[in-house]
Amino acid sequence: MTPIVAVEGLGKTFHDKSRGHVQAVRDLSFEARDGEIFGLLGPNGAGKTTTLRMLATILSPTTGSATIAGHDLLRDPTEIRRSIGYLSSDTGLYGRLTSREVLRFFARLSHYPAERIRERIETLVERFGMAEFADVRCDRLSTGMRQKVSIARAVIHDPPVLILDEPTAGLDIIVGESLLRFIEEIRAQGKCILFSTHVMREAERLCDRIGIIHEGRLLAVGTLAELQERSGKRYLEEIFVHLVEGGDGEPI
Amino acid sequence: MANPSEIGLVYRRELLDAFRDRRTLYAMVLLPILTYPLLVAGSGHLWARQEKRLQSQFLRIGVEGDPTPLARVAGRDTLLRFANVTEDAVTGGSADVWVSLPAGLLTGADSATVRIVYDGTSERSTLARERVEGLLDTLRAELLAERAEATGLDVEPAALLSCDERNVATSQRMTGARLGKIVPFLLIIFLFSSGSYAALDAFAGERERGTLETLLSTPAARESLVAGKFLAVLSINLGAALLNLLSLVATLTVFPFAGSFGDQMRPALAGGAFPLLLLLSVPLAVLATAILIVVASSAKNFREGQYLTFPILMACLVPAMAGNFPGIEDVWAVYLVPIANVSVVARQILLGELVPWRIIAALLVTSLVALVAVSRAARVLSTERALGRGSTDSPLAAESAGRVRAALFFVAVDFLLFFHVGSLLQARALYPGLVMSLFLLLLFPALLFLKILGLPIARTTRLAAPGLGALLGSVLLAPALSLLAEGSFQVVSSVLPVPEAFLEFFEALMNKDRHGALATYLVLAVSPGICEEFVFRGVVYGILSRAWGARRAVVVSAALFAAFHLSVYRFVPVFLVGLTLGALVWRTGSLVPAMLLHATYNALNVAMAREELVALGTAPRIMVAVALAAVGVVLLVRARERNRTQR
Repeated sequence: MTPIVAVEGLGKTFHDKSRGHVQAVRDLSFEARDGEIFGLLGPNGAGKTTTLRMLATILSPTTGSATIAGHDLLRDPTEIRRSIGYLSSDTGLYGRLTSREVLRFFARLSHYPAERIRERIETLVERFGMAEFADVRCDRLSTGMRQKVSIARAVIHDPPVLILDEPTAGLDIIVGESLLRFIEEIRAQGKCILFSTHVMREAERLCDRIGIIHEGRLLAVGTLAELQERSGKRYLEEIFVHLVEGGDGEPI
Repeated sequence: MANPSEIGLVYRRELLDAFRDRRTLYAMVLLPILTYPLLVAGSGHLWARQEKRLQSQFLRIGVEGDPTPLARVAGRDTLLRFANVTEDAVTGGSADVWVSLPAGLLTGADSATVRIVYDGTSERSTLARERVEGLLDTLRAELLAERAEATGLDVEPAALLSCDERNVATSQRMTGARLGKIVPFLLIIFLFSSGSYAALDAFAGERERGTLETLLSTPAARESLVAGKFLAVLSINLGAALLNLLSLVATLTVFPFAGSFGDQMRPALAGGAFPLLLLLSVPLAVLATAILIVVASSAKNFREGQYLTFPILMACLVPAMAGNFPGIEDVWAVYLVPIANVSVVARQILLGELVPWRIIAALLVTSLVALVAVSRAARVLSTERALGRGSTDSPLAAESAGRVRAALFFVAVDFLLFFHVGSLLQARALYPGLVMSLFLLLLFPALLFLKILGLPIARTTRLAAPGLGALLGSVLLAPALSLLAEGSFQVVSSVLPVPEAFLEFFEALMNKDRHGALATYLVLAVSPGICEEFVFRGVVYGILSRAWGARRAVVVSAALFAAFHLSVYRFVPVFLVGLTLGALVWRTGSLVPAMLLHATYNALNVAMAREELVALGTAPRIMVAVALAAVGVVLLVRARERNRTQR
């Protein structure tokens, strides 16, 4: 089976006033399949956000490319955007619009069939228990409510691939937990989820395969079991430190 | 590619968002609508104060015949000045009112008619007329008393001294003059400010909330997103202008306070004034929207956006007031200045003066500038900087920043040297002093500066041989450049009256009788072409462009060049010349075409001042200049393309 996400030699160089050329991401390659949660694990500033933004076509790569759902990242960015739902910890909502208005706007902008939009919105409103506040302006919602609207927004057009950049950052335990459950639920529907986090426990619990990223480089890729076996360590924290300190860095 | 349904979606969402924002409602609806009723309600009080102020100033009363009787009844009123002039003095502006006292008036003729001429558009003139009428009443009463004493009969005072008044202004001119002071100004201000909240919200606000990232990850084309947002801001700007004009009409026709004020003002809006003002607003609204969007998209957040848009509004104030500068309507170049041309033309429309070419020029120029601004605005979401990260500095940034500081310091020091030592040299002997200033105080220190910094002279200053096409092309730009400088000088001098001494200095500098032709052209054309270009385009632009990029370097080097000339009156013209020369170095990659254009441009101006060139009228001069410049630009573009393919 061809992987739905295939990343090949992806790299990104920024120019920074104080630091000059900064290689945020270097020569990144990995694959992810339907029904799989692929986790990018690394500390802040490791290049996770840059990688996911490139895959969401918000940034253009300096080197390399990728295909998502059979579309080439460089040649066909519009088709890629149709195939993905993107959510990051700081993607916001329109404060002066209600949840239903936000969902309708993004459904139409994502070219979701017009006759099915109403039904799709109601399904999501029910799934996330948003009925009570679906017609309240977003700037009057609590953080938890807003996060529900955000995730509903990201999946409104029912994309085969979800790109989630540290989605649990800044959430309390209850909201974070319900989000993780939802991610597991979508995996069960056969979708592919690219997921970044710096929380090792989240990665351990959720990810089918994990890519460990540090200073823009992918140090290792594999299932938790594979990583444990390869490094001889038990916990992800230990595996991470082992890799960073120059242990066996060959991608698995 | 942009897609109409996507544009419509974004457009509707932006407007929905804007209309739920109290600030937009305030800026677009409330303020434009309320301005006129408030102005009309408040203006009675303001006018009363204005009149009081006028009363404490001198009033100049032109008199035909002997002013003595009027001066006598005026008694010790020292605020009145009498002068024996013709009635043209009122139109000419040298008298506030003119009155003819027939000779028979005092010698005892039975009756006499006094003629009074005044300008109803001028408050001073109207006030002067009232004073003169007062004086005539007193005179009439005195004469009456004298006659009654002499004849013992009662005489009807009006029969003795009747008045025939003539107002040199038509009633439309009168009301138009009052409205013309305020309507164009407010219209322009609303066009530029009403949409600013919406523009900031649509770009800086989206970035701040993180919705921009979401929007960019949808399949909608970047062009659709920009177009939808653009149209939303444009609608708000235009809506505000329309509401403002409708409020004006409504205030003058139905507003209860308007009363006689409304009756007086209404004629100015008769005929095509309303649709014409609206027509002028359209390209200006497009321009304003594009500028707001470019600025809003460069801001990291809403607050920074507000800091950035404020100077834009400030920068609009002066051209928006252009219509109020006396005499500016006769300066042809003002019709080519964006914003100012709309201000001047809008005032003329209210005065009932419809000059088609001026209206067309204002529309064309504004549309053209708007087009350029729109093409820039269309790209705001196509770059990654839309997300507010990354810059284009090279790793050598620190080194080139040091060089920039050194170059700016050099200009500042050399500026002092050039002016203090240079003016001494020039006072001793004008031409030799100028040559010495240029070569010893400008060129030589610049060479020394490069030597100290250890920079290669030819490479830093781009002193490289250009192709023949680039040389010829740059020379052909000279007449257009001369016209541009002269036009802008006229605009500036209509706002800031130029002192005689300033003009006399240039007269002396180029005087045909004092200086021979060869010396004049060598000193005033060739030497500045070499020395000034070497310093400003060679050293300053050369160093700045490597640190900051070409655009910013062109603008800053031109501003320094203009400041170096140390004259308020010449700043704008010299700045425009500097921009052209800087752009020439940028596009040709060589300093030599700029040197050549500078020398040719100076030579052309000298030749015109010395009347060594066939004098052309303004219209043929513009046509010749534009035609030559067009050929020049084509040559320059072709030279550039050839240069590229060779690399």
